[in-house]
Amino acid sequence: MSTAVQACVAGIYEHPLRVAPDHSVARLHADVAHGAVRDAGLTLNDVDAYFCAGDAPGLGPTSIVDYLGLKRLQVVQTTELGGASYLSHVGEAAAAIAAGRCKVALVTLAGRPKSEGSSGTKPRNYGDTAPDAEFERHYMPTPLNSYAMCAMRHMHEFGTTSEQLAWIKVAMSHHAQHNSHALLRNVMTVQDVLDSPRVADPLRRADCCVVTDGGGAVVVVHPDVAKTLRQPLVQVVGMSASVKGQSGGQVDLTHSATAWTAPRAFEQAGIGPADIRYASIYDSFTITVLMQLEDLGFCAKGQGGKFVADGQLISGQGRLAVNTDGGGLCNNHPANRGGMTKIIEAVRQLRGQAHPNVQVPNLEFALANGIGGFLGSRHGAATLIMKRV
Amino acid sequence: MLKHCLSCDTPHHYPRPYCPHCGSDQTEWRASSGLGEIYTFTRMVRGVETPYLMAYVKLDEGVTVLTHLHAPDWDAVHIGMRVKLGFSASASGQNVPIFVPA
Repeated sequence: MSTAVQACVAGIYEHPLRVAPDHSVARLHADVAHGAVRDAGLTLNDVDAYFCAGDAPGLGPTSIVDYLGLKRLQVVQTTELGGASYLSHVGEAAAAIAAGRCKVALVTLAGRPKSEGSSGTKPRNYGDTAPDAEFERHYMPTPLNSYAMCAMRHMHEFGTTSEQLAWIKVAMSHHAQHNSHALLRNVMTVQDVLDSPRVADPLRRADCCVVTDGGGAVVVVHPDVAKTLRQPLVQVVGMSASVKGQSGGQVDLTHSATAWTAPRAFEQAGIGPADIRYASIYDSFTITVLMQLEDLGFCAKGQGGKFVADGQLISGQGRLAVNTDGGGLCNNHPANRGGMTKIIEAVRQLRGQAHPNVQVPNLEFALANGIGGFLGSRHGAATLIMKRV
Repeated sequence: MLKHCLSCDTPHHYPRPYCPHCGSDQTEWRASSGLGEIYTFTRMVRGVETPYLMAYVKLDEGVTVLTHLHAPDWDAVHIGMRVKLGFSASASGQNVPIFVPA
């Protein structure tokens, strides 16, 4: 994003609840919207752009904008990349701000899958009109079996082990112990992960993210606005999004679309993987993290297992601090969409507002990466790079 | 049956009227050998009423298809295993393609 106008993330908010049976989805959107503008030092009356994805109920932005009472909108956008949507929203908001189309953009995410009985072992119904539906729905594709088949192939091609995958969960659990809002706060060992029951091999229950209610929001603003606000300046310096599917039957389950988005985002930011010391990496499952780390260029393809082993993702002791809030694996995965919390923790890190026990000192850059949808069939990916100035 | 593009001489799956490789609408149905090998698989054993084997099978024609495996010995299933096409009633009652050890 080498533009004269460098938009900034000025407000963030993560809903504190993980189980919210008495809140409507719209109420959760409102909670996080108000929380994020309050964090920025603004009000909803300042918002002139709104972004959301498929978790927004009713007619999406049309319903939520009316519900929130936003009256000054000049830009309204939805992007549906599953859980990766929100990273894309931040980049698109920054582009709209740079183009002079708006000054204060609000992005919200909320949902209550925990209260609604959602599970990663149940098929998701995207409607029988999806072009793939007739050729796949009979086989009951679910998040679990989709990501499990990626892990199985990765192990076959590169010798990746269950112990190496387990280290990803272990690192997240080390971080989650310091997060009072995290759903799972007990520190886990590799053996704890290996002892959890197999669900869809090679994935075990502990390889899976949590299912939580809640949500999150971010506010992206023009730099002239950001300079008048209270929070440290965090610029949006790179974003790229893409989609990868089955490629007409040329199926390749060991590379994600991040292999395409990461080089573009790094090029925009003018940096490379070696400049990143904190990264929020979408952790729907342990294998998701491992593949993204490879595709982002933190290590060569196939070397992800060695990269994550022995606590190398634990803040303060490893080579790369990842998901210092505990991630989706231990902290929060609101609406079954983890991209928003990835942005929020990356901004906390850049501001110096992460928990002291996991804060990475003197950060200049932070990266957030998302994979939405099904890694084993078709998924969206987005890479977002931000800079403290 | 698989869709094959006459323009770029490449098969694709799932079937479409326009070739996803080159965009041509000159596509036709061709018979598949029904033979292939397991690209990847998983034994889905928890959170489901009846455990099942899900897989991607790479057909000898070059396309990889999502399917189920019906195998007498689940522990013998492995990536690279040769399999052949069969048909079986799915949960909805519709007969769908599945694969069995060749």
